[in-house]
Amino acid sequence: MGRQNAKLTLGILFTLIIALSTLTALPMRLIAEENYFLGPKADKLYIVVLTTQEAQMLALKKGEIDALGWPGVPPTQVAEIMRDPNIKTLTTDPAEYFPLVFNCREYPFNITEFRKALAHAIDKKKLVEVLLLGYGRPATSCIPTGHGEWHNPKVKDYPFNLTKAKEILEKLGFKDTDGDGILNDPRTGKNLKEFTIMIPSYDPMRIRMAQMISGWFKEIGIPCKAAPTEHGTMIDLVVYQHKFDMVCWTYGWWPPWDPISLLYHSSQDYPGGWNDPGYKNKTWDKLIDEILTAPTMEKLKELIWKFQEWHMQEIPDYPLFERYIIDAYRVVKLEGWLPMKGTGVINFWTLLNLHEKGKKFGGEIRIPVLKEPKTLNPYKITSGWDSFVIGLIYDTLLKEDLNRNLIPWMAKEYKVENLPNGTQIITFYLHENITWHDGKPVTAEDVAFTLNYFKEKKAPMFEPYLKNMIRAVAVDKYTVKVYFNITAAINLYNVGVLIYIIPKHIWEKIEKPEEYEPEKPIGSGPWKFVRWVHGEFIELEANENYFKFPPERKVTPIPTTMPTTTPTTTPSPSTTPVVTPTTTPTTPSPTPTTPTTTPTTTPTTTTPTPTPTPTPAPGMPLSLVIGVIVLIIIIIIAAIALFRRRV
Amino acid sequence: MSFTRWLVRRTVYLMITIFIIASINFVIFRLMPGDPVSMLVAERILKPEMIDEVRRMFGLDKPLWEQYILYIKNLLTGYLGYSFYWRRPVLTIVLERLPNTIMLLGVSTIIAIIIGIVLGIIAASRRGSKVDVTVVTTSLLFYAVPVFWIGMILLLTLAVYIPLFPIGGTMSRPPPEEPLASLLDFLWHMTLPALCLVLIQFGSFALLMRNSLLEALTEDYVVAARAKGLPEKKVLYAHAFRNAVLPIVSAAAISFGFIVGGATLTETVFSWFGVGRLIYEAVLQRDYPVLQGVFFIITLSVVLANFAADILYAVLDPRIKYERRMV
Repeated sequence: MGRQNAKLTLGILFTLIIALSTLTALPMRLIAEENYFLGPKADKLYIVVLTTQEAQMLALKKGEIDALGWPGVPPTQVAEIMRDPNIKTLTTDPAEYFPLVFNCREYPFNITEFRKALAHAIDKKKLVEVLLLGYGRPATSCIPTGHGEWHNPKVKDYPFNLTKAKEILEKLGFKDTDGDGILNDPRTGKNLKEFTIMIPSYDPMRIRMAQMISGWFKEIGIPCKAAPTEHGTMIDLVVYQHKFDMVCWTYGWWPPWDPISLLYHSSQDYPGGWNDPGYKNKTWDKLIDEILTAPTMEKLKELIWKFQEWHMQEIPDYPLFERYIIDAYRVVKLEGWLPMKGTGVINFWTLLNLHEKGKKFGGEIRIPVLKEPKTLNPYKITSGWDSFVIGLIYDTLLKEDLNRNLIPWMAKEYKVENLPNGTQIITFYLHENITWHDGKPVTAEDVAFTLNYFKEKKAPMFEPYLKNMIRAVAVDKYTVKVYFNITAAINLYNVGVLIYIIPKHIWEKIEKPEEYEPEKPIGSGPWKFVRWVHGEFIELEANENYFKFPPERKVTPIPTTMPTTTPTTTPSPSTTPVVTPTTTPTTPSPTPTTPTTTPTTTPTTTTPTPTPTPTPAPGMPLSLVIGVIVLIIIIIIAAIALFRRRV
Repeated sequence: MSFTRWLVRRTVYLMITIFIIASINFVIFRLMPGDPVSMLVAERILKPEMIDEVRRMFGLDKPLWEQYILYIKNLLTGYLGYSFYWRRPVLTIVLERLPNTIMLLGVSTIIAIIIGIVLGIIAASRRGSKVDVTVVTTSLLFYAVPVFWIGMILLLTLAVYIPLFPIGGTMSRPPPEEPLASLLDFLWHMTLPALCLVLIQFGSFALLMRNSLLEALTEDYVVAARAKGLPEKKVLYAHAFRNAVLPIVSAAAISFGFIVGGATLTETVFSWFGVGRLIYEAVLQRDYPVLQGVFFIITLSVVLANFAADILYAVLDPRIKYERRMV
């Protein structure tokens, strides 16, 4: 009897637990699905150019901008920022870390145990305390914590232990035979030559770090000093001439297999290559190749975890610490800030979700950038600044959500087929209500065209991601099949998340994409391009036809068919901004027309979307300015001439 | 010789000077260590395979003298080069920013000169008094203070704590539509950087004016004028000042020449879209074509300004023309 009762209670308890857990899971899904992924909720987004961090901080205090851009708040300013009630701060685990890179081509850094001894001589906790004021943590792996699930937390680190360091060095044969405090080279018997830790001269934090590390090294008998070096010279010495002892860069970029395959593969060890430490290991190469061709995400994660273990056992570069991303953002006018793993508060989802405080929609967002993007042409992306803005105007098939999990986006569904002959087909099924900013619908033709075009034209940014792709084919209006020559799990990510889809009807006419600078970029993203005043700001407005636009916000009915009268917006010759020369620009070319001529009047149209005014030149027209100055000079000369004495 | 002959001669010298400057410009940038194209590769902007193609594109694979000929030919047609970083012709990039810089620097230089002259006259005429000492001290103080420090102090006081002016930029985001409001908006944004530059610059003009005037006041004709019974004001302005202002004209002309170079630090602190900031950004990016082009424009401008100063001097100071007769 008792046992039956026990079983019953256990059974009820069990079911209750399961029921409760599913109940708690439900609201999470509802929240995720419901609000964050609908937008844009604000009206306008301004990308403002403010070239110094100090200017950005002041503008944030004043309220002229709504958040700080990369690289966020310096640790010394955090306390002051926190005192302002209108500003909130947020620390995020970064996807970036600071390693001490050894030149494994040279003695004695080519001895693994020697590197380990040096590792034991570095007090990482102290570094974080002194250099980052606590806003960071010691790094334990070459894939930092900001990478979420890709980071292997179980990797063994090297504890700070000077005695152990000295022991290891003695075992290797480095003894202080002449008693002067400096270890002697076992090969020559003489004192070790003084090593240098190279750091960029523009970063005082790293100069201090190199000094601290040199101090510890000296204590175990390794003569060492910090060598702040000018950036260009540093690149020349480290990347091209491979003439250095130790250097401290920052590493870490997305996706995690990118740095692994570039930094540590032996094929990258050549002047100008990516393998800075010069570490060559055939077993590593095999593992890296396996990573690049891993068939599933789970296998990929398993291999990347394995690589991190191997990496820490050999430490061609020793991860020192991760610096938190400290964001600061204003909470007075806008609400809806969302933190994203590895990135912080300024991300695609925040900008989608931000809206006026107290209301559900509306408001203007102002985000600063330290450096103005150079182009809004996805083919010409060369920096994070470019992709930041381009990623708002253009869209991708898949996206990473706030936890860096892959979610379907433009593609509502996808199917990965690994064929027995070693090839792979990924089928993307698009949403059927996506339109370009000029009203035309987005179809599988556009997607297939984008992938084939970027591969054909060898887009610098996208070429590595399309390496495995053979061809993309539009099977029907909203289905695309992409063929790969290798069954690798990274194919889906590379093609789905990293490639911006461009409109076929505009780009099929562009023969030379490297010279094309669209006056008005047409994408399918949440933000429509309005205008770009060079050097000042880029104005974007909410795309009301965005396929994720909140339904209750739609007020004006959107025409589902193309407007019958198309606006005549052919730009007149006097407003062409730049005439880029042909591929041999050293031959004299005609002076390009400058944008300082007054813009022509905008043609009247009958479509609901307003035609944007051509960008007016920043500042005053050149002729007016010169005229005024010359006039003033003439007046001064005339005055002097009139009053001069006649001898 | 006549004035015209002198003018023609000076123009020929000008041409030769410009040619020499262009050549030196070319040599400097080719002699610099570090290959700019390899810099692009190392910054991970280009891939190593592209390095030869890019070199060919910029004509860097030709022998040096061929590059030189090409460079001179390009200069004659006004083609200043092609930026590595911005991938646009250098001239376009510079012309985009030139109006802002000329406006900012032009206005602030003129105001600095006027203030400098006025203060210099006041100080010289009341030599040894408290006013004199104050003027000299403030001039030296503001001349010695670092530009960016003054800029940031101005930002803190007049833009943040007392929010009268904007933090930076040449226009509000978004700028107003009507031309008058847009001009006023531009001037409002220009006030703080212009103030910063005026504070930095007025000192040198004030001291120059003061010294020059003090020297002129010791001349014999001043004693004679006073002996004649002229009021002090007339002595000062009608006699001493006219002679003392000549060095200021030279200094002012050279200052105007440097206007096109922009004020690098000021423009960076105030996020002013001008040539100075262009120099700063180009240096960071090792963008040699832009730097080469900008340096050439600056030197050209200074040489021309100098030339104009020479002519002005000849017009203002009759003694110079007479000296020429003896040559």
